[in-house]
Amino acid sequence: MMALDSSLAEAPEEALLRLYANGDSQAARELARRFLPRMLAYGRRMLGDGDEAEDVAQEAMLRLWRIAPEWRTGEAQVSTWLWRVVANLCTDRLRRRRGVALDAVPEPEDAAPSVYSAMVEADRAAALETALAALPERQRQAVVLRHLEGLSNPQIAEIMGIGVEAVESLTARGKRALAARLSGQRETLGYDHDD
Amino acid sequence: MTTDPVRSEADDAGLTALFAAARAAEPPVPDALMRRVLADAAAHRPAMPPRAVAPAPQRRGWVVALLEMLGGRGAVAGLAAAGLAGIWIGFVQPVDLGVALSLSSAEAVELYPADIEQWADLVAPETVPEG
Repeated sequence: MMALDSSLAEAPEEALLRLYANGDSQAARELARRFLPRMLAYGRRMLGDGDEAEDVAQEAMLRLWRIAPEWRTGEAQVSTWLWRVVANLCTDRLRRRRGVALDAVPEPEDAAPSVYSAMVEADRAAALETALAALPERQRQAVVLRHLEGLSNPQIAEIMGIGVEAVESLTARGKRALAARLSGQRETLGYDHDD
Repeated sequence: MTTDPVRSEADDAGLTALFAAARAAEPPVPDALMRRVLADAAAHRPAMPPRAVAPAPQRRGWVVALLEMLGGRGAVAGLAAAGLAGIWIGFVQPVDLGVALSLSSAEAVELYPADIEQWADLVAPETVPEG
């Protein structure tokens, strides 16, 4: 069984999906091992809620299980397809949240408080997550897919349904905003960048 | 917002480090979630097709038969990985074998027979009916 698992770890995702569609439960386990952590991490960062993130991650994988018998070889990448599903699920949930609010208020770009003091006292990772959560949705999405999930710009463009240049613009703006939030407090307090 | 190139570079390096820290700090997938996902997989997993096996009914005979059909292990050594996946696809589903064997991948990858044996071990136990 161990040899089987380690061999499957090298299998291309399309082959795994086809194995699953032919009744292979180990292939499903490998697909879940490979994709579920990414779907979950993405959901957490986009939705800011662990329970909702688990819902979208489970739903995305469910749609993969359902489509497996109809999957046509060579037409698309399994991972790109899955990313699109989870991205759209998150976007839908975020839209519904905004719909519940009284007005369609544009998300604040500069109003979020600096997280510099948080960075001093708490975990660097937590500081980044806080700053990420404050980004406008599309910038957050592009930055997460590019710099946390390591996807290529063309792949992100396909997932988000925009052009590659638009992706680059979103990630550049997102990173500038992150840098500003993470160092903003220093300017407020009058510190120069080198102590 | 600064346009100072030195400052921007420092920001970029700082961000890179923070991204790495954030990735490293990701909590693991909760067991309960993994169980739910695998339960969904089991619930939707298709039954194995009745005609899952082609020529030989023995446990690994059908893989050998496939290799021989393609001209022996030497000939198979130049197949692309994607093409190999295509062979399994064509083989485990009732489609025209001629179609399944027309490999469309442009990438050539050296495959040693051991790799194919590995795949044989993966596929044969699931798709060969007992007896």
